[in-house]
Amino acid sequence: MKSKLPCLSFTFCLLFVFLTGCWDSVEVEERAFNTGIAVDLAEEQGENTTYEMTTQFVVPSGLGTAGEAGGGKAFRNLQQTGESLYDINASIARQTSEKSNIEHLDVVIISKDIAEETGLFTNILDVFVRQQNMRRGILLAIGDEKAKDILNVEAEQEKVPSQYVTKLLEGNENPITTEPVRVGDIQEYLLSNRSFIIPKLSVFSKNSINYEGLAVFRGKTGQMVDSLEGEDAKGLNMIIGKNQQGSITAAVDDDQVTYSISEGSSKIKLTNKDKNNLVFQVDIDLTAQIREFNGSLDFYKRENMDKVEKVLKEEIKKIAEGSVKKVKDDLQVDVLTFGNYLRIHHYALWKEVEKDWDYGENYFAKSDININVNTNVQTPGNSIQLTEDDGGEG
Amino acid sequence: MKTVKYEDEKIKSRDIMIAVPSMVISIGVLSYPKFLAESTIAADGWMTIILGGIIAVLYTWIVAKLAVSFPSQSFLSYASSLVSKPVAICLTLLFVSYGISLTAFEIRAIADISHQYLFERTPIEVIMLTFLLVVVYAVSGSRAGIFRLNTMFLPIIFAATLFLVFFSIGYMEVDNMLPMFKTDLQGHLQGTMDSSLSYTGVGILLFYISLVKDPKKAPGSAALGMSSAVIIYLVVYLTCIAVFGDVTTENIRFPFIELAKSVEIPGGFFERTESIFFVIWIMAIFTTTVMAFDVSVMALNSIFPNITKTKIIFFLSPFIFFLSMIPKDFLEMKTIANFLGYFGWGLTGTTVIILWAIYKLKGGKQNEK
Amino acid sequence: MARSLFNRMRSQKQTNQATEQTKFSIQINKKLDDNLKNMKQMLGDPVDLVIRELILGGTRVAILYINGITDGNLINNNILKTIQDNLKQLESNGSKDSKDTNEPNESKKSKETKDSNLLDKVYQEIIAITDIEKYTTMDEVSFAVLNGSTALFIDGMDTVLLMGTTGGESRAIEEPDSESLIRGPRDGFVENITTNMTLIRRDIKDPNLRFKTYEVGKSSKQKLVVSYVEGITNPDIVNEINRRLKTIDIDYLSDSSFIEQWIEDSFMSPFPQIQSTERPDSVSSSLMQGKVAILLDGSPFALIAPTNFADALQSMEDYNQRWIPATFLRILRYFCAFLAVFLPSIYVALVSYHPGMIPSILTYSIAATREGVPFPAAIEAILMAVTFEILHEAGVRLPKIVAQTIGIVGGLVIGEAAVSAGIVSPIMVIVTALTAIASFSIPLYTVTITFRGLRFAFIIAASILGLYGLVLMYIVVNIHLVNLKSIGIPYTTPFAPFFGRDWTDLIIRAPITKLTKRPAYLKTIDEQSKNPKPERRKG
Repeated sequence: MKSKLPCLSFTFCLLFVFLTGCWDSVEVEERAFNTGIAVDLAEEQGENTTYEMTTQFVVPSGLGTAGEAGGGKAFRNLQQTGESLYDINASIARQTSEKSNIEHLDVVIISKDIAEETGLFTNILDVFVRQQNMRRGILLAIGDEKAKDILNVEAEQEKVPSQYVTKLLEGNENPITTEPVRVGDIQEYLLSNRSFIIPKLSVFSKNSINYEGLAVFRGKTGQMVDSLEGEDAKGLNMIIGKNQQGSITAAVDDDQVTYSISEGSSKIKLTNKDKNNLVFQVDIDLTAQIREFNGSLDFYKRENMDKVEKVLKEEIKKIAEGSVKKVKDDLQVDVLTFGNYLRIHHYALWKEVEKDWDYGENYFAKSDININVNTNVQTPGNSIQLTEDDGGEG
Repeated sequence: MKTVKYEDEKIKSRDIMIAVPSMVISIGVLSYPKFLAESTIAADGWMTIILGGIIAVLYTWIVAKLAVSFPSQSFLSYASSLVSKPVAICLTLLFVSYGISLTAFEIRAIADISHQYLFERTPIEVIMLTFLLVVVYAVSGSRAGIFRLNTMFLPIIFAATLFLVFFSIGYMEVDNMLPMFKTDLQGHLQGTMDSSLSYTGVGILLFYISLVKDPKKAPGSAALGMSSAVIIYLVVYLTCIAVFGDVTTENIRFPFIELAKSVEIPGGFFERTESIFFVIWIMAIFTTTVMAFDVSVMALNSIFPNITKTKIIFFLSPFIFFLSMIPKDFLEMKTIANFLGYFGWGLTGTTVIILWAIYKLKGGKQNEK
Repeated sequence: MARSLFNRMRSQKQTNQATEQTKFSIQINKKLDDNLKNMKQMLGDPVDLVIRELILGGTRVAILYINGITDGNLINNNILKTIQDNLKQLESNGSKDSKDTNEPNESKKSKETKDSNLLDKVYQEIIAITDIEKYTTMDEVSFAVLNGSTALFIDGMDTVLLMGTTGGESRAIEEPDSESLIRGPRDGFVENITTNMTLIRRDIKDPNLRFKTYEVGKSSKQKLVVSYVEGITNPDIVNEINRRLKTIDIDYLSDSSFIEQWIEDSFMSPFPQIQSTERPDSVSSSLMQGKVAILLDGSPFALIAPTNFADALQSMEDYNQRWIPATFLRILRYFCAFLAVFLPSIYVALVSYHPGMIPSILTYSIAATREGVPFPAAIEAILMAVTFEILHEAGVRLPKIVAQTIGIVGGLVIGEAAVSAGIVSPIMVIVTALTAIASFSIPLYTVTITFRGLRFAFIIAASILGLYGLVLMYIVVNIHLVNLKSIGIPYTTPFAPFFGRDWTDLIIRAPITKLTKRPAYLKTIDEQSKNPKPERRKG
């Protein structure tokens, strides 16, 4: 005890010396929270101006609290041009009265122009994985035109556009969307040279953003090659086996029928192991319900249900084959995860083809993909028919 | 018969069981998934961790067994009975230098990483100094107190680690774990090497076991303690691989920290688990540092029994502080980390082999039991 | 009534035993007048000294007592009245005796015999008080009189009869304010030590229950009782406590906290190393666990030692509820302790240093509410905590009615005015309020104070080094705790040193039927407690 006393008092004295420190203390209201970043190509390309970065800061008082709605705008967009993002961030900091804080950064939107340029996309991404304050969970999106326009869309329900974008990216379960793509995931893809997709957004109107489709990137170069929209994106999800839930419209005897897919899975099999002529078999299993039907059929009859199922099967097969054609033959980029399948299940073969998978020799483009669809339409919905069934019987 | 006296300088073998993982789990756990991912494919590192773990457990058991052969004797006394006094003093001094450099290294490492993730402008000296002061406070208390401190902190460290792992389940992808058994032999060897190197610090047993009341159980307890550390390493490694995949893990400096930063508990106040993580991490490094320092003090005290513990501490602390200021950048830190790993294994290993050999040659007569 | 009578008698006996050591000095004179004069002189002839002289069988006798500390009824009914009832008989006896002995050769010796006969008669037949003894020195008599006994002097005798008539005004047994329970016995200790001992004895009817008596206070001569159950409590603990108690050297102890402060292991520690309680059931169950209780005359707070950190978060209520709610309450209390100590400092660390660790939406709303607050979070936190402490302190010292006003004013000041004036943020008010409520959910008031003090240390640490400082401070407190002891028992048991068996009654409170062992950390002689911990043996 006695020996501890001088030690203790010494400690306390030092603590009081430290009291004068507080080097890193910055009060929360003195920080500018950066929630969204949009990167565009600078309009006037100069020697030191490659990018134009738009940073969105939250204005907390504008958000209001649960009790009272905040007045005024809840965000503030600042722009600068420059060569490196970190540099631009520093010059943006000169415009703010607060200390910029990127720990709450939710979303980064990169314009299509940059993504299509060789090498720029990977350069931009580097800062987001290198900086220790950055999180690997930052969402990525591609802006169809000017990325900064997306950060200017003021939706009624969301006061901060980047939060709107975040929720749009996270909450969408639709067959043409994909799971939210994070910066960390992209690092993983780029490191293992796997091609990938990133959600593509566009400004739809003054107050809404449209989840337009999926931008396709070649893993080797980190360059955007094209985008999948509509049916192509649907087909992609069918094959990958994720985000299959959604609606499919087809025609049964000229009557339009809309299905909603409630459950589904897909399975990839390798049927031919010759690396120059790989053959994959994709089995897609779907469970669907009928949501809309313009004709009149008695669904209590087995043959009618079979008919409906068959239509769906064919429709899906058509969609899937369409996207295979686009992805494999036109773009020659494996975003259908066949490469990953090979890595996991046929590691030796994968080691042989890895270097020339979807570039160079491009074994992927040389392969064949067979699609096999199984569907199960579970219920016709609550009612059997709306109008009198006249033609279907017999 | 029973007494209320909790003999202050005596501990139970259970305390050894707790001290071993407290010592082993330190700065290494933050970065070793990276090195393991480098040398193995997908999640194959689990085999190397277990293999390295088994080696480490055996090694721990042997070290403890040697120390137990001389119950209630300090390292210096039994070493000098085996290999003359001057050699024993040399060995002890080597352990002292190892302990001091490990203390200095850990202090520097905690400052570096705090600077990386928690602070920007706070001078590194301040971070180091505050930590060192707390360490000094702990060491200047009773030795039993240090073991009690381990007992207090280790469950928190384990619980929080498992908590973190539990909440990262949502981020795991089976694809990242596959394929299995694809790593070649060389990769396994390299990985085993790396993973056993991170189980450092077993040398403390040579000193602490002399305090144990029931030495017979001590080797088993020490081995058990080491296995628990192996399990924690394994769990952390598998989680990192499952969440990031091996390629990414390889490219992250501190995968465990990134893991904590990536995992978010949806909707809760503790949405960001990294705060919990930093708490456990500082504690884990603290226990290691305290024991490294305390062993040095204990060893020095055995050589100079006339100097009080407090004086030794006050003499060593500034020295440790300046020692920890030496490394310039993270590459030098990495070199020192490797060096300390080899030094620790080499020193303890050589000592144990030599002492065992001589002990056996002399027919184990020194064994007083 | 009969019970309190019994108490008094017993207590008297013990006092006498305790005072035995001071037996020396002035012998009692044979002359009544001299004796009375001496007594008056010794006591300084106080106004409350009552001397009643009587003639008994022709001999002068005097009753002497101090008014106010004696039981007036007892003196009137059981001494004066019985004497007067027997006066006639005594006188006739006396005259008969004198007739028998009224021979010319009436010697001085026979007179003495007569007096001693009288003394014996009074002693054996007349006084209707069981606690009656003969004394021969002035010192003893004066001490006893100061303790509330009544002295009967007989002219010509150098022996004095002392009758235990301690009494006077005392508080009735009430439910203790400081620790009230929803379910459980409603009695609490009072200032009178004999009552307190009775309360324990009524709980534990064990012949092995020991009350070891000391006298402390150079001037106050207060009775101090060390209570334990022989055959359960580890003798080392008892010996250690006895050793420490013997070192007490003080004039007057206004409360048992003097003893606590005198015998505790480390006076530098903010943590109470000896538990104090007002509840007899708490003392009884602690005794059955193998702890030692210390009672002091004049203090309604009994001390229980040794204690540990976990005891601070346990209440007797835990045993009186079923085990599931009791366990839930325990966990809640641990959580409250965590909040009470850490909440403001976590707020400071996160808000000033690591806003990245707060969920985004919460960050923005904190930032919005802090907009325009002139102080940094640390100052704000300290300001609010100090305000709260001031309010609490003001409330405690005031009469209850005024205290309510303080509460209202305080609530208004903190809750409304400060926020609308923009001095503090509403979030800080929530944090402060939550911390305050949490700190009062801890059953032991002494620990509450400790936690409130620690809170400031944590706020300061967090304001200097953020989360890092907070963790370091936590480690410092832990280092302090592991080095702390309570009567030689480590303060952090059964966490560390680890006693697995005791975990059944630590964070969880296992079903009563499963709590069959006494705490291992106390190293009791008799480990098995057939009945579980909160023992209220019904005889």
